[in-house]
Amino acid sequence: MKISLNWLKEFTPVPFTPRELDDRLTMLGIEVEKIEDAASQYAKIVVGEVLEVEKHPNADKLRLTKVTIGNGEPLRIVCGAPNVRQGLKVAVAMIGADLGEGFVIKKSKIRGEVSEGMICSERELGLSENHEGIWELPQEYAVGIPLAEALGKSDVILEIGITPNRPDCLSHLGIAREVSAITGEAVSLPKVSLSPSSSRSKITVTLLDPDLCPRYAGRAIHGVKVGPSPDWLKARLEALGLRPINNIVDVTNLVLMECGHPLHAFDSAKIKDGKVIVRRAEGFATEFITLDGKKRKLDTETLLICDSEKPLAIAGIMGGENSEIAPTTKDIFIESAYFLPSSIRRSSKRLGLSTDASYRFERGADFEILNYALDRATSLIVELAGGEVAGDRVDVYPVPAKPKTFAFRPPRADALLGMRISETQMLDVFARLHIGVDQAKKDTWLLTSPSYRIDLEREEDAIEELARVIGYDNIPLATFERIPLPTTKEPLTQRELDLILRSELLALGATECVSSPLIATDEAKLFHDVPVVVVNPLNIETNRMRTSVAANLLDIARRNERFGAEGQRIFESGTVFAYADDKQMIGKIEERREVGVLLTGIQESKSPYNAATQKADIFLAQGFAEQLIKRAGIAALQAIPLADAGALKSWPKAASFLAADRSIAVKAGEATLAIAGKVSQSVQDAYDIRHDVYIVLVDYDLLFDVLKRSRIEGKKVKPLPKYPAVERDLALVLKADVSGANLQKEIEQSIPKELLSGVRIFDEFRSPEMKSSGERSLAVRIILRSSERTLEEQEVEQVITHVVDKLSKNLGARLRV
Amino acid sequence: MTLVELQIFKEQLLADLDTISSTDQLEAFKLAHLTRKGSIAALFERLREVSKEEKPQFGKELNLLRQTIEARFADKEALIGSSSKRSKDAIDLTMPARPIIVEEPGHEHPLMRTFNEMIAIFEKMGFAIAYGPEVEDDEHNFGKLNFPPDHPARDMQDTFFVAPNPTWKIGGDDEHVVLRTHTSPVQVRLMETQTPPIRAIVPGRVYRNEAVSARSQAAFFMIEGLVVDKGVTMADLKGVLLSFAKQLFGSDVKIRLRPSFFPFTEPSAEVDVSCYICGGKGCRVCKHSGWLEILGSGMVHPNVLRASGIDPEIYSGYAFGFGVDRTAMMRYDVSDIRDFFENDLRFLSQF
Ligand SMILES: [Zn+2]
Repeated sequence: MKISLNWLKEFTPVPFTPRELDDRLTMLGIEVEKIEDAASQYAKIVVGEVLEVEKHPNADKLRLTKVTIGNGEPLRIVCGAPNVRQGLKVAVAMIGADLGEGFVIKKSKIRGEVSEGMICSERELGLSENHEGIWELPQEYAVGIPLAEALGKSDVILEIGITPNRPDCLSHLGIAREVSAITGEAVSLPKVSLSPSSSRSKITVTLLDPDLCPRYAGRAIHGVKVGPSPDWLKARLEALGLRPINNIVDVTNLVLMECGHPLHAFDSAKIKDGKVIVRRAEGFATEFITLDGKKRKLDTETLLICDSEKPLAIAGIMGGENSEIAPTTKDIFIESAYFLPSSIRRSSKRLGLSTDASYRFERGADFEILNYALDRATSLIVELAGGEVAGDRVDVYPVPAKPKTFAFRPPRADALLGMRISETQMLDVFARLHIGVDQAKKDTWLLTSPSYRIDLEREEDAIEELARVIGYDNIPLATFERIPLPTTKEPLTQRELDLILRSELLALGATECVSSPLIATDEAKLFHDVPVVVVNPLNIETNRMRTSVAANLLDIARRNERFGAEGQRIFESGTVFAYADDKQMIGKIEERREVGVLLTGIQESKSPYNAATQKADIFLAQGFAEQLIKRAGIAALQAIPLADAGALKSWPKAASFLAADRSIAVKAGEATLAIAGKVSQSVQDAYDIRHDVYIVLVDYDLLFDVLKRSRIEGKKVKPLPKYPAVERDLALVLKADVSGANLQKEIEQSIPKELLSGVRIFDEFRSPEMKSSGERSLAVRIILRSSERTLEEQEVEQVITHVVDKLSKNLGARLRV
Repeated sequence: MTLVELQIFKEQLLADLDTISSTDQLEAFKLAHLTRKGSIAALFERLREVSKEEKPQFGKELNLLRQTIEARFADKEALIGSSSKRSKDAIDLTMPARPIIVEEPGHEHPLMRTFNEMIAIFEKMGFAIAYGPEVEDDEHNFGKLNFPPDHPARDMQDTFFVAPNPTWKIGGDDEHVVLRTHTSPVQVRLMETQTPPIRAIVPGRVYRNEAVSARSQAAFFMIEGLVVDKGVTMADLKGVLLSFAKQLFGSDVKIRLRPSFFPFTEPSAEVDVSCYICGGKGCRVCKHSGWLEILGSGMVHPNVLRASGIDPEIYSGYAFGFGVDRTAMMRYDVSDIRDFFENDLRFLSQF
């Protein structure tokens, strides 16, 4: 809302500069968003007249000018604008003028010629983007007067933001009251004098729904002359960003800006039978054309102002085309009413129509100011549009509202604020705010809120008022605080696991990404058949909740590929959403945490230590999955082909978004903690990514549970071995379809348990001959150790020979020679 | 042949592919559709019948159809493990993992770095960490936080609604669920399940239905703080926030509390920190005011305490909440919030 400082001063003294006022209001909770202060913005900028124009001796495009600013010698100013010419009135920035962004005019030499100021363009004055040439001022402007004055901008306009609890501040009167709370000076409203009249009003008012409209007042004026408003009124409205319409409507708007109460003027010739009936639309009307010419569908609950046969206005929101003030209007009826805030808000929302009036009514108008507003408007209209006040004011107010009172215990202020406030100080603040105080009971005062302060209804509200007026700055600073000490054992916290996984991923060279969980349907469906639907999305591209962080990672990978990334190693950790048939969950929506890693393109580049580049593959993806989980604290892992992992609850569509021949599941016991694999061709195509993409998805919640359980169980160290280990390497040739896992299992089973210490495949090799015969060679390291003795050479040989025999018999393996 | 027929044919093929579960069926499908005498090849033959004007369009659609079917077929083949494919470039998935070569460490996301730093500061000050759901009921997101129904305070937070089940219909009976607009519902959840003293922060994601711009993002990060105990005052709130600001921005910064409005606190305060870029003298970042708005706070409203089963006559508390994104923008001189969510590696690699 805009506030004119000049106007504000008519209500109460404002002994502050605009900057100070900004600061004081801000500290009272009235946010000043912007100050339009032409006078200080244009300080040292005056109207000048160009006396002479010569060519600059050293520059083709520059001119030397002499400009008079009234008194003293004309200024010598170098100017580059093509339109500078003798006799022109111009805006002259004198030495010391500040044009913003640190641009201060100084006496200078431009190509050897002295310049004692600057002739400004519109852009330099922040008035428009026009930088074509200097600004040509109207000839009637007097030389030497400040520019702001010449432009008629001597006022300061404050742009103010009001929180929804303070509708009482939505006017000059309201802001004046706040200023008066600071200064302690009185606030005065313009005096109203109405000349009584003999003619009687024929308008009657009936409230059929007093629950939605508890008070309705109005006045009839006969014989007005509708026409344009006088200049002062137009200027006042325009300064506040309102468009003048005619003298009647302009007065109602002026009163709105003045005391905050919305009024509405009807052409009373259009009120059939002179009957104003306030009622719900139910059973009366289903549509209505508002004065903006739009046909509105009415809900049965919408409150209407009607006559005996038709609606005239949507109460508190907008009037109708059928009764608007026209140039030919002679008799008018002015409404000043109170409407129930929740009713206005519901109707305004339903109609999708918000106006200055509805904005105030839905926040809560002032019951008590409505007669003043009505009388003030009436007297102004009679003054500006002529006419005669017809009879008395109508004021239908079946059940007058009682002032709001509440209990206040002075010591509670200290208890809540941590600030000592004396009772005298409290009484002073309450007096400044016109809060009534009844001290009949010493410990519990009874406070009465002013009718306009709808937000004051309990002790805490009064305490906020004290703090606000005394100043939040005066609340002391506590320098230590009692801290409740933890009393439970937490084997693992989410924070701890978050940090482990994050630091490990960063250490593994993966870059952290953050994206929005709101994604497109097509992408969400790649990972889950029925993604959670956003009912009112911003756009079609963000109408589902993500079903996997893979959806985001693939999107990121596509973009970075476009930007030329050769290789990508990225991760994201976050919540994913799915419907679940579980009443415990809010909206039957299950939230899971998932950590995803995406690998694509070059993962190892050529270097003095690496002869060839290496692209992402399944074994690297597997490495990430295993490394992460092991780092979190689970060592016993098993990787199996995804196809053998069965149905996965967390990733029901894994078999479709991963390629089966390049994907694995990583399990700890029965729990599948992660899956890793190549993104299937169809998904890769859907994202339009060129390189093969591998992703790793870790089921964070499951990992957390498994880890927590293992931490509760604890870990005990084993005694260190006393005897040395023996290592033997075997190079074996096998049919290509014998898997590494199979080979490993076979070896482990053919060695006595008490001697087995480890088996590890450390090489794979295929000669052309092997390829053609469908074979490959695997090299295996076998580690043997006894806990009772040093193993003899002979014993080792026996074990190895047995292993080779077994492998030959069961797997058809032979030693490579 | 029409484009519609082509579309129907494509959908038919995709449906057929979906039902395939054996190698034999795969082979049959391949024979019927994908070979040189298959149905797709036959369609290309019929391209001759199409008029000259329509030919480019048909050709394009037909090519797209062939690519889609072939890609889906390849997926299916991989899934079922067709022998022909296996022998060609089958790999042994039971081989050990590849050791990970790290050429340079990964980069922290600037937003997460800021987020984690903030959390760490509060941990140091003895705050527990609590979490809550991102999908919330209206009761926790608004009702118990003292937002009355039909109150303009609800306009302060534009809300996304999500369908509470897959068969949801507009105008049905199912109650609305929302994407939480702030982390404050977790305050209520904490107070409902714990008895004071409570001292916790709630880091997490929140959602606002606001058009995405350089200054706002529909999904962003917040940290909420809540302290409830006997004798907690606004002076305590001030002390904790000043300590936080000094730890985050530097020991020279000052804070300023000014009155504001949040339905769930009374008194409420907006908190500004003195501009750490210009030291309070005024600059572009602080819009020449010398102050930067960083968070909202206040004393927990008695209605909120009561709604969570805590007696406001015995206990008092303070709460605060702030967005992480804005602070991260100021710290790293990022002028467009969207840069954080692009995840452009050229941007991220600077951190
Ligand atoms: Zn600054």
